[in-house]
Amino acid sequence: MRLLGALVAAGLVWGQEPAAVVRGRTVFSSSCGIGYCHGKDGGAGRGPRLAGKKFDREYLLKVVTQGVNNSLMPAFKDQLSAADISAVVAYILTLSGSGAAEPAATGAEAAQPAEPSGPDKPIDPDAGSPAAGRALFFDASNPKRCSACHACQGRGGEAGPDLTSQAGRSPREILRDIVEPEARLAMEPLTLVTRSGERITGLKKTENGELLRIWDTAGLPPVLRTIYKDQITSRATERKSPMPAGYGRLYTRRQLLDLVAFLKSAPVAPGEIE
Amino acid sequence: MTRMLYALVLGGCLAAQQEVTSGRIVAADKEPHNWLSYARTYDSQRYSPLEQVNRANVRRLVPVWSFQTGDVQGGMQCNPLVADGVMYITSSWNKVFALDAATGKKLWHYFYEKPKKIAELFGPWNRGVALGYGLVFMGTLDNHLVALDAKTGREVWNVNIEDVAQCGCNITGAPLVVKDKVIVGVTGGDAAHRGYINAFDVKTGKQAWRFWTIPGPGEPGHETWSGDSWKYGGGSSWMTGSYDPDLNLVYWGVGNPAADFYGDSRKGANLYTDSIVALDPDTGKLKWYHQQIPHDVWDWDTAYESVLLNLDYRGQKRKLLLNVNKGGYVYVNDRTDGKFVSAWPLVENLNWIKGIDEEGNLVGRNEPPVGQPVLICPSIGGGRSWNHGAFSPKTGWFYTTGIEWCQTVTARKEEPKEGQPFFGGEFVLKAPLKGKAGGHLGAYDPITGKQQWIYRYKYPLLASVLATGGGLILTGDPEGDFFALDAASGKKLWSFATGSGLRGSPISYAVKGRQYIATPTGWGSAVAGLMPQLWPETEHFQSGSTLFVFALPE
Repeated sequence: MRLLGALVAAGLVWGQEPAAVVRGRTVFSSSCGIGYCHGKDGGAGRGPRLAGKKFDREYLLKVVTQGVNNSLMPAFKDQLSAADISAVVAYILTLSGSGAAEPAATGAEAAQPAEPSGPDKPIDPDAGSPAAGRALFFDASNPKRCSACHACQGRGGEAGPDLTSQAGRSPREILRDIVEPEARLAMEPLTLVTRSGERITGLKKTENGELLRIWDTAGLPPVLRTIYKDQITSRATERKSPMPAGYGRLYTRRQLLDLVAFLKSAPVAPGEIE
Repeated sequence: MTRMLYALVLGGCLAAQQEVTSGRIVAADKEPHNWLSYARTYDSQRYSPLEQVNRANVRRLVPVWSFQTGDVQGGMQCNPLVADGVMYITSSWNKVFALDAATGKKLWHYFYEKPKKIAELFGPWNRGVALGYGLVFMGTLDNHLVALDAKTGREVWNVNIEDVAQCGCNITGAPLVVKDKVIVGVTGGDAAHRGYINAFDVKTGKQAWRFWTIPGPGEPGHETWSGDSWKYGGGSSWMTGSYDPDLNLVYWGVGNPAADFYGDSRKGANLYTDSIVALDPDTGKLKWYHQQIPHDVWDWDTAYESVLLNLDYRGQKRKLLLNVNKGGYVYVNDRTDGKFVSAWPLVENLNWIKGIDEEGNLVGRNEPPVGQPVLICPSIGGGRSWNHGAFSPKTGWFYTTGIEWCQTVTARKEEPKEGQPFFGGEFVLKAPLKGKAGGHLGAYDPITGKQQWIYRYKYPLLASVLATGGGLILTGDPEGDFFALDAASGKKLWSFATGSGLRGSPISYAVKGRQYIATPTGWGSAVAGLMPQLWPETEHFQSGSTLFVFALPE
């Protein structure tokens, strides 16, 4: 009985699907067969039909893991575990009629995504919650969210400095940058006046002999404006950070500490973000 | 002086190109040779008054030039615009071309830098640009809105509305310029995302207002979402709205709630999904809404065009709004206050409800239970897809395509992950219960739905419809034929094989007194991709991305 149980678990009993295929079907229906993609059971959608086609296993592993350049097929290495990628490939092979699925572990190394390092603990673990800070940083319902201008750990806006590498800074320094942005200038703000009389204050992105691209921070989200130099009548460097003031009032102390804890935490793989 | 300017404009002389303004679009009927906004006029009737090409001579229509964009992925879905002899078109991957509308000669192009990340779920296609104040506006695959110099194609401003890596959303629909603002929607209705409609200052790109299609805490309507479901409830705004300058209201359709098929975690009516919202274009404030489908569990968008009609109804002159719902019913509302007027079925295969009562309430809902496949008609591709209908003031009829098909739906409990697909189930297309699967194009009384004629076809028709003053109804099919029907009888009068299926929006315009009819061609899109499930041979229908332009021989 115990042996039978083990065999069932391994999917080796006649008439039973291997566990990898069972798992692969579930992964497929929530990742590949959804919406307009490959269709239920690979029956075609906007993406190609998979059912009834023959595929090489290594090819499928590569495509699912890395995606296809210049197409809509995304890389799943950050969204699915290596085991799930292997399982979904095993399932697709059953659709294509190219033979029974192989054990999930075989070849999984090839598809193994770089494992994220475990989150480092904040220097002061009681100071705030990185998860709560992340939610505030990226809060889509808040027009003044940090990510409107700043990226952190691969997401967010480009206008302000990328805040991914803050782990080495002290919580006090980070907190001060949030509540007193005028105290430290990380970028050089500019004010331009154009021929039409418009005054534009913001952060320079690029400049060449002909034009200047500047993040206009008069409102949020910031607007990347292209201004031709022959349209500029005056140009001055500002002493004041364009970051809006008032974050010390917008957030509670607890929330500010959460933000600090998030900024000091190590990156989390996108697939783990809820 | 005025007369000379007028002559230059009529002549389509490029040097005489005048800045497009919202005022010019309001008065579009004074310049029928142009097509300045998405549906030509703010009322979205897709009617060109031009009549040089007409029922009597359309059989002599010939191609005069074509333009290949070179980017065939997803086909060509755009709606060309024409302003004083210059045409603006787009292809997949956010490429914009300005062309001489009489010759097809390229004046400039703008290729948006290929984004590092796009919202794959919603495709690489684009449905067109908006014009205004010397600028060309386009939404992008990574949820930016860009403004280009209409004379040179150079980028003037560029705003990232929300990080695509976080929202899983993008912009495929054309923006709408109203007064000094450019208004644009967003996809994301099948993802864990909270939808919105945004307006930006045309000159600076500064955000003027945002209307959240799902009310936040403390706002009226928030109580129609249980728990935290409002944060991930979809409510996209992926097509282009309409505008009534007399009422100063913008009308925009809001898509389905997410998860599409699983509703237990979002108990309530789920406002303002599946609703028409009427907004003050100056402030974004909601003036009225009408929800067609409370608590949708079928993915029936209300996202398509709002056609504004001034018609006599029961002895009164009424300002009405007609909207084709994806579920296969056509709704008519009073556009002054949103009050329900009528609803009529566009397709024969409908089983998700038994009917709609005189107040507009759904009767006999057929909701898919969790884990158990059920047959639902029409399919997720819709009783009609987004491709627009047209209204002819000459016949007083509304012309639209419709699709007969069904699906089995299996609803599934699903937890939202921000920006990730959020369908809550899956589907497989099935042949309909009544008749054969296929498409049709019909003429209907807009209020009662009384069918005047119907043209049937073996596949879904997925291109927009154009009505003209010459008594023509023009559209194209998946096999690549672009054709003209008699608006009065539905009789086919002319057809031309373009070589690839049609999925875009045809328009008509004139340069130097010569009328042209232009149509995008090139097979593709999400719904086209589903078709092999019912029609296996369509898997091999070749794609393309070519604009064809026709005229009578000189």
